[in-house]
Amino acid sequence: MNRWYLAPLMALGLTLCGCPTPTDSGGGGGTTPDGGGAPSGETLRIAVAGPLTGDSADIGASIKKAAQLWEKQTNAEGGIGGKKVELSIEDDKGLPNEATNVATKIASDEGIALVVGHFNSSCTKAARATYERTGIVEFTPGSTNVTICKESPWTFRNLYHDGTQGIFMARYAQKALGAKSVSLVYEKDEYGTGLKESVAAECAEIGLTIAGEAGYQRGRLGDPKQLATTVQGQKPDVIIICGLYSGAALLTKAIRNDLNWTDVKIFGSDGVMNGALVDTAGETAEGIMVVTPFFFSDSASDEAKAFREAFRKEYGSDPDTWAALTYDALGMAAKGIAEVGADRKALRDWLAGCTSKDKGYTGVTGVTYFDENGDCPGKPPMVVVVNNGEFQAADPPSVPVD
Amino acid sequence: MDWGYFLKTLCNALSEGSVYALIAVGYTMVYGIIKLINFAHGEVYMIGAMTSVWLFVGHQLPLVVVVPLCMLICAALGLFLDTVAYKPLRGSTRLAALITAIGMSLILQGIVQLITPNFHALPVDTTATVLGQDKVEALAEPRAGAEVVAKLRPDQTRPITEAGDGAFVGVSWRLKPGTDPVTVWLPREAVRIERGLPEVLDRSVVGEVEFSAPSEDDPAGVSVFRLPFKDVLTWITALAMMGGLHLLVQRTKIGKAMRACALDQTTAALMGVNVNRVIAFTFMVGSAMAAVAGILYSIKVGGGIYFRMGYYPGVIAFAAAVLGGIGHLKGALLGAMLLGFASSFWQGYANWGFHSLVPSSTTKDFSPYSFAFCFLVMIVVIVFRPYGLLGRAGADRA
Repeated sequence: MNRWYLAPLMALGLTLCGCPTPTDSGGGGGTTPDGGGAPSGETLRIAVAGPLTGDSADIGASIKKAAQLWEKQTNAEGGIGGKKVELSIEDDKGLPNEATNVATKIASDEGIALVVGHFNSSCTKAARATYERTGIVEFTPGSTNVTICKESPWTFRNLYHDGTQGIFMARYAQKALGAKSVSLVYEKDEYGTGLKESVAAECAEIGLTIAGEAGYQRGRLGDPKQLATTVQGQKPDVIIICGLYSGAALLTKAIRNDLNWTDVKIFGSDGVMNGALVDTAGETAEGIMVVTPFFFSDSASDEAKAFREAFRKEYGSDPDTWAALTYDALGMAAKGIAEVGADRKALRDWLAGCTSKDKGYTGVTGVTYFDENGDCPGKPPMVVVVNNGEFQAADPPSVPVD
Repeated sequence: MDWGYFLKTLCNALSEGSVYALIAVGYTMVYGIIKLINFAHGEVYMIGAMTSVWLFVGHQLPLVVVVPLCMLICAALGLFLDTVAYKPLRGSTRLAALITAIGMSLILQGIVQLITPNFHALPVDTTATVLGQDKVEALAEPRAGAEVVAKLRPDQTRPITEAGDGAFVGVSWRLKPGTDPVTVWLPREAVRIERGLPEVLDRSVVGEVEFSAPSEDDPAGVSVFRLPFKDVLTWITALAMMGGLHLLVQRTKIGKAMRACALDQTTAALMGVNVNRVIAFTFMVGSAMAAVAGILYSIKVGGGIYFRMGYYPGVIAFAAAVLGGIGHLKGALLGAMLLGFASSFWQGYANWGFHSLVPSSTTKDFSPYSFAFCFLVMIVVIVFRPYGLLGRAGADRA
């Protein structure tokens, strides 16, 4: 007798109430290619979906800020092709069943041209079927699970996937960190498990010993000290964390404070890349290394510098990787709408046609273009380290993956 | 056998069990009297943890004030829950009350989510944060005519190393990337000082005990066992609270009334016991215990405090109450400890056990299934003792 039963019931309820006849959106778009998706003809609408609350809420906050900044800037410049842009920002709480509800809501709203989201791989996957069935692009600025784009023609992303990230992490641990044996700590969801398997495969390939594995359920890390104890028992040189900043921060705190285990290196995947890591772990965060698809370095491009300035002016703080990727995803969507209109199908075909660097979109995080799956091959991973409470480029920042 | 590792796991199990026990008594006492499974109890625990962070970090109150204040706030919340949600349904079916409990749980989560959507961390160190919009000049020494050694960005937070004289505060800072941090002095009015938890909580009460733990690669390997004071504090607090509760139920007049209501509410009412007041009191006591559990969790883990944190501990504590025999205080303690041990030892030893018993499973990781194992333990116990470890057929009591 508990609340798990309620989620599918509620999802069913929403589906029954809110589901439109699926033929409507396709038919309407076909007859009026220019802005056919927006019934009012006045505003263009784009949905942004991410974890505004819950275990990855800090990343959700970044995504929301970047999206709102983009909306404000775009409308100040006169919108897209003279039409105002309106974002509808939805909260999936970082939970797959919530993501399905959000997807149903978005997909049934015919005025929405495209979705930028979701963030958590588990959510992007859960929502994917709904978007694919209705025929609306799901453009994720954060999900890196390997099979996400491959399994749906409607799903795209503007960062690397975990096949690349896993290979990179294993090689970086061996070559740059000098690891002889590693422990793999992972969050038991699509993202963490998928990435862990990819790291493990590459470790076997390059002869890096896996001292042990330890998984945890997000939100159920009741006592991180036992997880830390388990990992300490495996005696690794480097701990590779495939998960989010929230779990990584608690684990790091337990390792450094409770166990006083100071000589192990902690190497987190890109889900750990968030300022809240340092806020939660405090001084113990010093020296944590984190993979990221993009980092605001001093030698950043003009686009990146302009975005950082605008973000600072608006919010009084620095943008992070996820803000930049969201901003780029929206920028690319706007470019598509400007070229082919707000029709859902036309937008998908336009995105799928961006297959090389020249056809791609140049934004804050570099050039976004897609391979035949909708994956983004042009952005290699790099490593940052927490130094004096801030992320800085690590030395070396990268190792070759190919 | 690595005894250091074993001892650490044992201590973790005790700490985890202690927190579950404090939550489980709330379930068990309320069930004992009105046969209601108060699903909103996990949320009371969450609100206890949140208020402790809010008071300690946000209002910088000392711990001796935070603990009783949190208990009071949660007791009031318990009273509120009973008065608003359960009392009007006293005469109706049990199912109505149960659904209301689930509803209250979701409502409380929703309210907290609206107020504080994000994670909160309890600061471990006392820190200074640079205030305002402009960069702050830092000095090497706080004396007249001292030279500026660095300009510091607003919103940076650093641990305080020395309190210094009145106008300046010494802060640990890294002047250049890659160098060791040094003490720089900041004007006191340019920083906001946030007091953290007392350092003694992280200190080991037994020192660093070394156990030899030889492995194939490292024949001279050692594993270090340390016991942070906060773990001991968790055990002592939980034990003291449980003991106090036992005395309250067994030795006081209100305790006698609680036991009477648990046995037979109608007869108790006929004997002059104000049943509604006893029930309200039970809710308040159970909620205050949950508040203590929340505070202990905040101190022990120092983060991960957000609106959904009460759900899983609530479910486990409920399982513990059922496992021990619902309605029994000692049963709740026993069940909670059993599940604490199940969870910690599974996390610590499942892989080792499976990999040595089943050689073909070495590539699989069994450690994430500790919660599933907890429920397996509960089911096995319930199969053999359907009324729980200490329960008897037909006897539900506080």
